[in-house]
Amino acid sequence: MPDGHKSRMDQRSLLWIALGRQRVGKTALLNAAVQYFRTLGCHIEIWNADQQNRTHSLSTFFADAAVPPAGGLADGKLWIEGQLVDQVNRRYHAVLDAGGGWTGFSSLIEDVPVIQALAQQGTDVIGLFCVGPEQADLDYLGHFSESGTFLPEKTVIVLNAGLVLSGRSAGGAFAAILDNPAVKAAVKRGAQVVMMPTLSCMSEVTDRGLSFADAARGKVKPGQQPMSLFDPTRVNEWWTKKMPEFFGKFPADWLPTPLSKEASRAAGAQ
Amino acid sequence: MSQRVRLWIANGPPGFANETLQNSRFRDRCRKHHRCIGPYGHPRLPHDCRVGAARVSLDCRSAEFSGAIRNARRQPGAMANDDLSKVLSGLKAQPYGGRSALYRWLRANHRRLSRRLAKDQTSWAVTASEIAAVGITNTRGGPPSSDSVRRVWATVCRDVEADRSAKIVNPKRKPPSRISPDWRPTVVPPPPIRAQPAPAGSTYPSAASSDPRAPSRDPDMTPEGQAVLDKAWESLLGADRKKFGF
Repeated sequence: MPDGHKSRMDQRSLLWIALGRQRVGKTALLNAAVQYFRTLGCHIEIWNADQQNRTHSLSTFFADAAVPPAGGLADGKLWIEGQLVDQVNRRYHAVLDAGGGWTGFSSLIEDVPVIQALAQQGTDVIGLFCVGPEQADLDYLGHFSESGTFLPEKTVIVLNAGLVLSGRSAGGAFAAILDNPAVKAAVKRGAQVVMMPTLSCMSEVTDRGLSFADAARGKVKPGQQPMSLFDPTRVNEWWTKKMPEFFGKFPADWLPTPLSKEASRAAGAQ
Repeated sequence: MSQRVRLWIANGPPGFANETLQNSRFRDRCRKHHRCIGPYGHPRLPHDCRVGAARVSLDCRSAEFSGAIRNARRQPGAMANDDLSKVLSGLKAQPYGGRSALYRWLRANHRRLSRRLAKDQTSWAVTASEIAAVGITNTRGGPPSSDSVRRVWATVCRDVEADRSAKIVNPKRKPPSRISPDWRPTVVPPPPIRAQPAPAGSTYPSAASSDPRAPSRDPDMTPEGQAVLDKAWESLLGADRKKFGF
């Protein structure tokens, strides 16, 4: 397109899927990613399949997040399948919070070669494996590698620096993770390893249900206590410098790109 | 049945031992209790003694010992020093005295026997027959059985180990004055750095490779993959430098 944006039919749809143990930062990562790319004008839909988290789920931060109907594993699997079909038909970017444990998504990828099927339909799957300093955080990566059920070429191993204990160095905490055979095997297949910067007052922002931009401005919702004096400065530093640097380490074609205005209006209308 | 008794040998100034014996409540000849200082034994008397222990049981069949004790009780003073010296030298001339011929032979040849027994794993029956063939007898004068050889060998090994442990527990201290004036403490070299230096012309920063905490390099890793890992490592170190200043 003349303005540099791609039309809806030219670009490939991206599906970011966050995987990992409970409390490794999947929701925080997707929350930040959606806010960041929506600020850049990207049309991203949110699929919140994490049925176990209620307080800090994507639905808390995004009113338009789609959630599966109440039900069991099979219902969750069918719901995700339906969302994938919709994405293929309407061609938009999406993020999926699959949740921890055995989920509908796990069941789906055991059943169907999801990555290959979506790639043929113009949708690229990007696996985001969130890990902390514990070796057990790599269990998901190891499991999917061994079983071969979920090995997207476009994989990012996100080292969540926010999980490093206070006083401990990030290098010391993650050295063993980088030495792990599952990580090395994934890197050999083309995975990227990126460190997500820590925001010390993350809970202050998320507990208030604020967007990062609002928190950086010091916004206070009615009935809430304001954040401490320096927290908005911290959020501003993190949101305007560290997070763009973090996303800048991703390969360019793995990042959602803004649609043209006509395509955005069309995608939003449907 | 021979009665087991204990021999008390009082080591002190003259008159002390006699006083001890006279004051001892065990004045009955048939119920003599003895105490031995050190590993003394009588060639014909079985006994068990630990090095440095003060409890020894002696079979009072020995006329020699009975006579010594009778003399000690008869004389108003303590057992004469020359009598004691005679007894001690007599005991010293007969190592492992009081033990059976089988024990003494096994003990004397323990080092070579233990190597052979460990090497060949010979059965006790074969071992017993070989020992009997050279004329070693049991306490009754007959050829030792495989069971007795096994039991006595276990006792010998235990006693040898006890002797060895006693020497280790009480090592001879070397006075500081006997240490050579040229002695210097051994310099322990620093542990080798785990990470390999970056190849020439690569974009890998040298600071990352010289860090001992750096992840090890996989020889099978692709160059692109190694670049990813090095970049991730450098970003971790960068975060540490900002946070801690190093």
